[in-house]
Amino acid sequence: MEREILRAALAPGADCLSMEELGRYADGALGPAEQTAAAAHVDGCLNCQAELALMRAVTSTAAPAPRRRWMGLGALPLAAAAAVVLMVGGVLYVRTEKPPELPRATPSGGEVTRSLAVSVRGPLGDQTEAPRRLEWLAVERAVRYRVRLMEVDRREIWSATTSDPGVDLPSTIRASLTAPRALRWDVTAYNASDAVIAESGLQSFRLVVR
Amino acid sequence: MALTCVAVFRLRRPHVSLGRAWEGRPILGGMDALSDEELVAQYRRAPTTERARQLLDELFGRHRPQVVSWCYRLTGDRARAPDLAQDVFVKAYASLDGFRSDSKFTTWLYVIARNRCRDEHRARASRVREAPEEAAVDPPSEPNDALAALAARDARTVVRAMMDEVLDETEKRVMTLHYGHDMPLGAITEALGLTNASGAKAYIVSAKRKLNAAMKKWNARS
Repeated sequence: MEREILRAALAPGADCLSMEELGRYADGALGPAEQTAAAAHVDGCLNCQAELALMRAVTSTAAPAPRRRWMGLGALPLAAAAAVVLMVGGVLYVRTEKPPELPRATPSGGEVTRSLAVSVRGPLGDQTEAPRRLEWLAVERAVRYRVRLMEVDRREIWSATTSDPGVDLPSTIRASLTAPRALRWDVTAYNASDAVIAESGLQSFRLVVR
Repeated sequence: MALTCVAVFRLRRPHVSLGRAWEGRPILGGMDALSDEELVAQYRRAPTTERARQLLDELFGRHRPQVVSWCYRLTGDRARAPDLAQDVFVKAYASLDGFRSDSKFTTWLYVIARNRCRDEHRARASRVREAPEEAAVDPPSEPNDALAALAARDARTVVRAMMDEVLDETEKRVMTLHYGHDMPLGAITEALGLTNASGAKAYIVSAKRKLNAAMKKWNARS
């Protein structure tokens, strides 16, 4: 009885945002009027707030190293692969090891995030020399940013924390970055409560021979 | 279908490694330096080519560990997570035309994963009518009689008002995800990264105690 009462009380309402709308809202990708209407709804909606908090908590933790090997289409046995390919027409993986050990997330805590995106200025794309600086747009309410420079396999090369929307690369790191080489980087913004309020996602640039 | 034919044709030939292996998959000229959105854009320009297949390999391959992790945390089921992730990529492939480049690919992928995992919860709930963790949540000495006495028509308004009044943010989220969104307690513990010994269950117990006390006061007032 009690469970049914709670289920009825806490079920999403007909006016709740769909998951697709919530995703676009979180990315700031809705039109201006839709974004405003969504914000007004989310402000007073336990369900949408919970979904956004869940999204932020789940997506804010780095993925673990894979325990299954991605082998592309070419390495699959013909009969089995063809059957699946005919259904999905795409890419698959095959099981080679036990399921992955997965990390626990950091506690979610804090307030509901209104925007999950840090817009980066650069470097992006092809670069003819090692960049001197990584830059992004300031995020409202952010008091610090953590920036990471990584190899393409996401191994961290260097990281830093700054209160500015940009940081200089140390000369020792710059000297180690020689073409041709692809690199990735990301930025995470934190508020005064030390909660993550925005992330850039993985950015890429490539050092090319002049 | 053209891509399917290309893919099947590829299966007849031995796998060719193009460059050094990273995490078991080939690094294909320059693709690893492209953003997700750039990969999708290039795929759309020529979706039936061999390069399109390689672009999808790169796109889905780079996110596979992350999606397995999401599926695990959204369901709490370590063994099922890789299969659920596979379902997510099948759906992502089928829906790729619906991806709009003004939002992040990872957010779009997360939405698919969340929907798939929610379907999984619902299917599981229909197989097991009584969630096993539910019986252990409320201490028998403290039945939530005040809450149970609520008329169904009042429940939505009253419970939500009480929750805003007496619960903290984590308690509200745990209650909402468990009762409103059918998430198992183990999954909530993992997904929200709750590090206390009993995880989400402790928050449910605490929230129900607070709600019951608040309800008793509310009943007395009214």
